Amino acid sequence: MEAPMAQEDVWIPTTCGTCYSVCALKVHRVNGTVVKIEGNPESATNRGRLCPRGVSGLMTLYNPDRVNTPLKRTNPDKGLDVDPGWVEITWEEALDIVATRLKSIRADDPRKLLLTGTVTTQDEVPFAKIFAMAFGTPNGWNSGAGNHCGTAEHLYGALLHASWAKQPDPDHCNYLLNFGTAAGFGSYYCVTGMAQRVAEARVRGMKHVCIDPFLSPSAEKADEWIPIRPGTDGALALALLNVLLHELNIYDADYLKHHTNAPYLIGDDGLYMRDVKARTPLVWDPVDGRAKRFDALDVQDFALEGNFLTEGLRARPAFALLKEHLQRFTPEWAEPITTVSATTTRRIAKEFGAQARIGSTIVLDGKVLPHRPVAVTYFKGAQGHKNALLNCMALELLTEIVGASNVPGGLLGMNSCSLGHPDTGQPKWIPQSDRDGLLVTGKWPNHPPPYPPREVKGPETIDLRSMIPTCPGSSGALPVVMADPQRFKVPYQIEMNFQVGANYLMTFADPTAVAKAFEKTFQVSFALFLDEATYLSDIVLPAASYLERFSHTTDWMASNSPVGEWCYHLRQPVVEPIGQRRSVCEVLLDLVERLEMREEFYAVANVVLELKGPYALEPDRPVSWAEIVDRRYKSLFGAERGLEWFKEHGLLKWPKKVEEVYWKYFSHARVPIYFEWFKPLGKNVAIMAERLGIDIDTSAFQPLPEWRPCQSYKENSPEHDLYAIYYKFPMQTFSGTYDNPWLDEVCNLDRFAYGVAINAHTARRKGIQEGDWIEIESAATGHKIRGRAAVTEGIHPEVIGIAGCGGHWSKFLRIASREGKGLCFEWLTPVGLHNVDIPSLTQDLCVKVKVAKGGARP
Amino acid sequence: LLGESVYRSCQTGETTLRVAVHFYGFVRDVARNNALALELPAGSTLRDLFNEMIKLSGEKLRDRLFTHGGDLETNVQIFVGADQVTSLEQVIADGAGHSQVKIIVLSATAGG
Repeated sequence: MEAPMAQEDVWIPTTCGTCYSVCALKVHRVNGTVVKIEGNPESATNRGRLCPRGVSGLMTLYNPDRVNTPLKRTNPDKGLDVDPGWVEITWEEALDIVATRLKSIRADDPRKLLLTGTVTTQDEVPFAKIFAMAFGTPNGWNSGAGNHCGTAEHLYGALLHASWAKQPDPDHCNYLLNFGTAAGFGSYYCVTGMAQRVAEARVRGMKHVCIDPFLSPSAEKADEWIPIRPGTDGALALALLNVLLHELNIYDADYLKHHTNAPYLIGDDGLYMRDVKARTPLVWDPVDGRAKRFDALDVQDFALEGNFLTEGLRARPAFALLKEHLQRFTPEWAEPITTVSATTTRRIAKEFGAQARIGSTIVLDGKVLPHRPVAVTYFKGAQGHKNALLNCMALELLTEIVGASNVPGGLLGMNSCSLGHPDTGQPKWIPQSDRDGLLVTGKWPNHPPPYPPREVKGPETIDLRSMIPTCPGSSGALPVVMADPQRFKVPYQIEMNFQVGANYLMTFADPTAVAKAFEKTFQVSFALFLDEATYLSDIVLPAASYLERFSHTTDWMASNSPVGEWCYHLRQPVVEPIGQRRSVCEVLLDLVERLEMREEFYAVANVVLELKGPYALEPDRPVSWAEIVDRRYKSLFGAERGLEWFKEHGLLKWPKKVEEVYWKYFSHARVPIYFEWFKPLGKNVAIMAERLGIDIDTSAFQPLPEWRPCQSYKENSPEHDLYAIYYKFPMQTFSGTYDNPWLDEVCNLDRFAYGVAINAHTARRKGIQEGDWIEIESAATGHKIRGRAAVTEGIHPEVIGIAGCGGHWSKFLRIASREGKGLCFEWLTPVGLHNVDIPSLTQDLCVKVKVAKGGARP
Repeated sequence: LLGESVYRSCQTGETTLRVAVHFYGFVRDVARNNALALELPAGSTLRDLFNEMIKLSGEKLRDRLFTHGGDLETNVQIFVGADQVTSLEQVIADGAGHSQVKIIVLSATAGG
């Protein structure tokens, strides 16, 4: 019998949504069914390739565990494992319930609404943020504030690179010093594109040195792996800086003089010496022998060292203070902290310093630019500690000292500068400088960017961010404050959580404590699956996945590769939403009408989406989500390139200019190597905290880096003798993909995916063998989890490594909740300000544990 | 919602300017009304307008919109008519004797 002829056989361009990289796809649909997903070779972002998560997306689209209809809770009791007693309701009924609640909250105090989202709903969360802003609440929480987010790293992204994220220059970098990040290997932004480009760089001869407690998926691709004790990367960076400045005398004086605040004069009070009239910082001109404004046209040279008298006061250049400050951080000082030998530290510093090729230049597009082919990368692993702000500062200074910041070969912001499409000049953002000459981002995903610093204010938000404005995004303090707002003098309690895809119970810390903070709120969840966080929901709305919806916001600044071409894509539905699933954005517009807040919503949307002139939203009539997408594209790329054009072509690309990629050399903005403003800010935070009766340690607000031990270093029980760490695993995205059968199959092939990496010598000492069930007990929470031992030489002997966000317990996730599908690291880490880096509100992620054979599921 | 005292205080100028003010975003909890109608002396600046609004809505509004030094907070965006305005010293005028001022307070509702 002959097979029936296919009536439809199409490939549809769209974008991936299984992580925040937003790779370009070609989706093969036959007779209305998606049968294959491939990378779009036309895209400059991922250049035709996809990771396993992208390929497996159709198994999420058709997963029988997906939510397909609105649900209402019938069980009034809430808890981590309490069955909500779901009953199906209509959309009309669901939205009536939600709108009635929202109206009441808005009339009372709009701050009582919280928005939780996640980075994998990158296109929906920004639109939900517009909704939240128009509603009138400042409260939001991306679950990334936990294990996944770079937090303090993003702060320095703003201060030093004018960007949310950064990557090594894959075209010209020759020496990559990677402090435990998978950037360029298996995760982070532009993941597939950068994995290809970094692989090409390695073939070209780039040396990759990876410093990581675990021989991770990126460390295994390194030329050299240096195991380090968790939470001590900052100490090693300080020692490397010490060797560069005090033993090798290697630094880029020209860069420091003209592109940083290194020559700014600092008084005895630790603050800038300022011009009496203009109030701008002073520098010392050694040729004329006097202090001048940093921006004076007659500065002939900038002193980097020395002691000077100006206006009768003593002053020293910031660089001199940094150099002196670093003197005590010798390799011998760092060795017992990091376990990295002083010999190795000196060798790495020497290699790094030599490879920086200070003084060399390169000609690109006819322009002579500095050539500094070294980069230092890090992300959550190095920074997710109690000492996050100061760890990151030390790590960043390595790049700055040798002048490898945003120049060919160095560390590049993703994408700090955009001069726009040749036809329209849009989208456009250019790094600027403030009155002190310091860098201000041209674009930032939140409002406002972290610099210039905001004033310290009272408890306006539920997460201390209004009081601690150095937190660049989500705050590790939120569950603490939400559980007891009165203690923090917050004058309201959150009444509703609007949840857009964030499984926050499995991505932050101790699920019991997090649940406690949330269980009294009325929770409305836009959900793909009935995951753990939906156990606390009152209403669940079936969300359309990325293959079932439109989006324009897949073009945010970190999606593009830092080099090569700009590439803007359209996310479009490749099938009609299955069941009663709906696009979150469409539902939000529906709620805008029900809440009668169209005027407010459109006003805010026009500002955030930069919709102007004929593309601005006018409140005289409602617009659809598709129309907003159309207007957004037309406003960027001209009237002829709207939704229909993108539906057909899928993407628009054009070459990047040298001035965009290597913007630093073309910019007057300086970056800090001395973080002067942290000092007064910290003082003001301390004053506010005292006024409110909040006990927090503000001593880390300081202008120069140092290393401080994590909370776990104080846990000295002899039985809890190992550190547990979490690391990203490239086969899964956070907790959201564990119910995908293809990814499960892949993970079953890798013993580390669902297992616990433990050092061979440590395992032998504890009588543990490969494949044994082992129980892990946290010294901080007392909780126990268990998994199978993956015995290896590739992990620090004091450490066990847990991959990803497995260990699901929701019975509605029929694959993910089976025994042996990974571990939930969050059971091990405590919720509390004692475990948070105060300036960045970063959650500390290393914890002392007791490990033994056996054990039962928690 | 024009306060009578404000209205009277505005009568000293030879001509007056009617200003419709709309508040959007993270300001609902401190602005007593979403919309205000004020009458100010012609030639009034945005700073004059804000001072009047704060008299009506209270110091919490000042705290939300301004730094302690008297500058606008960076997340506050002001539009007079269709034009975005950054200086508080700008004279309010987008039409003959009347003006629309929109004040939008953005908020960082989520991070990375």
